[in-house]
Amino acid sequence: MGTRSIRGLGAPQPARVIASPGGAPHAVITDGRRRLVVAVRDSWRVQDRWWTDDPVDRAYFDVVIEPGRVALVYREASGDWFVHG
Amino acid sequence: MASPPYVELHAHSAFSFLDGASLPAEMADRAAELGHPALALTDHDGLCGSLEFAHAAAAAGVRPITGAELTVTTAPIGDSHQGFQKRHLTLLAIDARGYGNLCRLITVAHAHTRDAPDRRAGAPLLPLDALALHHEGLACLSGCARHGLVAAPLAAGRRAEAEAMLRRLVGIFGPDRTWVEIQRPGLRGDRALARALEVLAGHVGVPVVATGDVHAHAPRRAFLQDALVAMRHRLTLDASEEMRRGNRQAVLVPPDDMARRLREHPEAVSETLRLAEMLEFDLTRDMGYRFPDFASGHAGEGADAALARICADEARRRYHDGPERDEALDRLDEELGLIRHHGLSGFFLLHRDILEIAREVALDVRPEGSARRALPPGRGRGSSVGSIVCYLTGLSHIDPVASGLFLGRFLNRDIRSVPDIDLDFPRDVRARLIEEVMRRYGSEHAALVAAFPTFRARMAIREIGAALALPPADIERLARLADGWSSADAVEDEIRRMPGGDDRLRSRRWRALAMLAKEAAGLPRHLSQHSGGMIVSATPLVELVPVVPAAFAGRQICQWDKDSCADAGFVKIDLLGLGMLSAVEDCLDLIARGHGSAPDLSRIGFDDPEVYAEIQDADTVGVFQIESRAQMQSLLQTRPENLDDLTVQVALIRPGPVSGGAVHPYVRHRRARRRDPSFRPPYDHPLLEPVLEETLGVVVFQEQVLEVSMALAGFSAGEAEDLRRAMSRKRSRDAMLRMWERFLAGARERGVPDDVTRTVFAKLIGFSNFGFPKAHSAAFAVLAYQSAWLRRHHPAEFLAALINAQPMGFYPPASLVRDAGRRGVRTLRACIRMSDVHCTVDDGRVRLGLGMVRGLGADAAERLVTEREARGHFDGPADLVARTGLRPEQVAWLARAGALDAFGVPEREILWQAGTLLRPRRVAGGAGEQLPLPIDPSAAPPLPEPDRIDRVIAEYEATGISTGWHLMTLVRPALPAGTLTAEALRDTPHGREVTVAGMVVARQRPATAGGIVFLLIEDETGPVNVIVRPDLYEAHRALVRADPLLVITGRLERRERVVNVLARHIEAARLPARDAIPLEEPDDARVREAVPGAQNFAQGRRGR
Repeated sequence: MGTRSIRGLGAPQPARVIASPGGAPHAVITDGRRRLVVAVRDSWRVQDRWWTDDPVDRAYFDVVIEPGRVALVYREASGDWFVHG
Repeated sequence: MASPPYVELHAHSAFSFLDGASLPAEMADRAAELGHPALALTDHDGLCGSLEFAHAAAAAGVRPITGAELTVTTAPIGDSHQGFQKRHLTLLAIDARGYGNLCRLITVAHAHTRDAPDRRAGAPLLPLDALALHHEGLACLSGCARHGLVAAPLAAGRRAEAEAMLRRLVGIFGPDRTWVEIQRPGLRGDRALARALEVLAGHVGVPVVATGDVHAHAPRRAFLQDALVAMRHRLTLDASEEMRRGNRQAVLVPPDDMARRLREHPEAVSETLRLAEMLEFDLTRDMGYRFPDFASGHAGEGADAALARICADEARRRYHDGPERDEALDRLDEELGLIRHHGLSGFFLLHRDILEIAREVALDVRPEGSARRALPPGRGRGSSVGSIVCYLTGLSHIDPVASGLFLGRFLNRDIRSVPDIDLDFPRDVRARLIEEVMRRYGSEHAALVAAFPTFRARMAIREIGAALALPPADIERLARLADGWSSADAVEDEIRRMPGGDDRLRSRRWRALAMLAKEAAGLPRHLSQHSGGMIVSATPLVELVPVVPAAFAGRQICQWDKDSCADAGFVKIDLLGLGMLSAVEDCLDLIARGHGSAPDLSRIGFDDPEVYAEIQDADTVGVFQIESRAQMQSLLQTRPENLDDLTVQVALIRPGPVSGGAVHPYVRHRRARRRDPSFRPPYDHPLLEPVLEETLGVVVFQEQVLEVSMALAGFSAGEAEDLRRAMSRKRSRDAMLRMWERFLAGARERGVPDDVTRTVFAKLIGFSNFGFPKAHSAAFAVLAYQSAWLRRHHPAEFLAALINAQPMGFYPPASLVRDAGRRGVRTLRACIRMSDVHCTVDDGRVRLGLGMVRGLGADAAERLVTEREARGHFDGPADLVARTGLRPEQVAWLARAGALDAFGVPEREILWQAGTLLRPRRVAGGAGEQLPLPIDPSAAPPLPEPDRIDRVIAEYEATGISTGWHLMTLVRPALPAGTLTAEALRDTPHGREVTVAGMVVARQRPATAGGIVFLLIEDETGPVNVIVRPDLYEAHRALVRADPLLVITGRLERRERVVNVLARHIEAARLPARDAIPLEEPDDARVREAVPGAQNFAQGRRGR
């Protein structure tokens, strides 16, 4: 299950994501352009560290955004979206 | 509404210990709420909660499916499994055959869990090869995404291994009974894994089925689930990330949600329905257990005929010709008919068999020539005491015809659960009996009943606190503050009470502690042995319920607790050790030794006015069942006059009647009846009169709960059993609500006004299952009467026997000695020349035994006595050590106990000699023993003699008893002026402000008393009852909980004859300042240490 390298392994950036009714990302708006999510390759939930002051409650999506860029996006419990790479 | 698209076939309850986070009933109720038509319970390597689940689910309208998740290894059977992985496999029972195989497989998985030399529990493990032997009737699912037999290698990229495992399963179960399990636990990579599993399944030719691997019934329990995983691995939550699930997805959700979650696998989803259809086995119905059909030994004679013959012969022997025999034979006929109707003859013969074994064991265990040998080996209690068949087969020693006792609950016509038969034994008989019964019936047919200790406040705080990485010192302090009776619910309050408590609760970790402890309260922690219950079956037990080896060698435990065993209809035999029975037997022995013969307890009758006079005056220290503080205060008001009254008395002071609001009304009505014998007690409704007449209008006995439901709401016996079951576990709100609806409907049909119904139901709920059956109470009342009789007529022997039987009872030996002293019994300290190992009676005085001396123990004491009897008295400390090999500190304790006074040597010198004398030492390779070089005793340095105060304290320290001064005599000079003695209180009028002081004998805070603490303190003249209100308790917690010497100021309350001091001020009693010898002066701390252990809240007394 190889992955193409993800560009720019920096900190996650806030993202504007349009989600489909089921919650999965449908389109991502970056650089002013709206790009469709072509495929959701994997999705998972991380709900952890709830006993600490920095609890995590996120839904992750490993997506392919047109025209073929691979990215990791996640949605916080607050509803805010972020993108990695 | 469309029928649900999905059935959950893989779910864990809290009986997956330290993994599942919800009780079976919670899972069942939640499944019903969410619209699940069926639910499978698949706990790890066990069926501990499966029957409980099956009943709860059925009651909630959810079809229960039975299964388990097995931990398997691919190592060949018998080989070490080092180097082999542990994997999971899910097995579900299709039919009864499959269920039996499941039990066998689980048993095999546990077979070697106690192989360690110290018998510490290991983890269960099933060799895969064993599946081939017991596969029929089972559906095999390939296991969870993380650890499954097929999924795990596939996830690691080892496709060939995964395929080989799958083919192996198909080889065993066939393609019709093998499924590849598809899960979406919401972890990274599970989508690809699920796809790969589907491909593999298609390739091999087996269907896929979707499962959820549920571990909690509601999201809030998912937090607890994380903590449980950390605890299981003995790690903090922070450090256990790899082991935990990583999210809260493993929670029960509606079937539609699951279908959506698994929408990429529509075939796997629809397969859940098809597979669920196949799994027809219903544990509440199909287990296939039948009572044993016993061969009696007469060829060709069936159980019914054998039982009838034995009883008829016995009846003719025990009853003389005349109306008594006629009544006996009539009742016998009636009972035998009922017994035949229920197919229970074999059951009674089985019990008789057990008693025969008990008789043999008793003869083996009891010394030749002792009076004990003539006694029956044990006593029946429980519902059997009203039965004439039980009497004639030796299960009970109460003649029901003579005592006017009737069948009642036992053998009810419509009964659905098997009658209880409980047998009490003296401790010595019981220990051997359990072994012997196991041996006779064999491991295929007998096993002990399980118990599941639950999370209690203290343990929850410690373990969860550790998982949360909270500071150990704080956690320990919090744990100590939590009482035995604190509910884990109340941890938040306890945290608040700590210094800086409110601040702590601002931190997430501390808040988590409070929340998790509350959620964990009442969840089972692990499987352990129930104290005396065992089940026996004719069908091999191991096909009905899995059996696991016990910590005790030679014993094995079934995986069900007493409630599940009762639900399953097992014959449950409770072999209980009753300290009081040991004491009574010992007492008779001592009497026989002194007087040549012992009284025949079966002939003393139950109507000695002197005995009742003492009982009515609450002069009952040491008397079985009616000696506690609460009982005594009650006796002063209820004044029992006969065995019936005692029977009610024994049952009355228990959580059931107390919570059910029965005690005060009973006392009032009794008083009214005393004044006016024609007094008729009021009833909540006339329909209740026949049921509650004998208890003056209130519910006192356990079976009255069911009888009330039958009389008021028209419940059938079967429905009444449902009520009992609904009240018997950590109560399901939904189940109780259903019961209430039926109760209300039934009562309305009978024209009972709703408000009356509500009142009565509330009382029943308060009473719940916390009462005693009448026949239990009757048997206990008999023992209570017999103890009171012995105490009255043979007080010295009774005292000696009670001390010998410790630990037991409400009072420490020191108090027993004081009480007996007030009744003219003198107690002499242990003596190296005169004492036996145990207490004995010498010319009406009690001589303490050498075994009581601290540091000695029964073995050393035996050696000592044997040596003395063989070769004569010891000359002195040197002689003693040389002939017995006692250690210096043991000699020192004997000296402090005053046991070596006979030597005529000052105690200090004994201690000095004991410290310097050596035991004979073997020289390696030498011809014999090297004799010690005794140091000339006259060379001892001059040391001051301990004075009288020291002697008193030393004696308390060495034996827990003072045969001389009471400790309070030493303390009295320093008490506040005007402090009254217990005796002086007798003449003090009601309402007066008084100050008293004493040694704390008991501390109690009953759950039914709204936070009030009851203290029993004792001074040199007797006991005093103190009541501490909750706010005063809070202000002086440490003092009330732990200080053994208190000064109490408060108001004297005298109501009827009950006297209490309502505390207003509490302080610790201090010793007088001493200007005596500095060396060895007993300081405050030492004195407090010396006070004998009190009865502490719910923990009973700790023996030395």
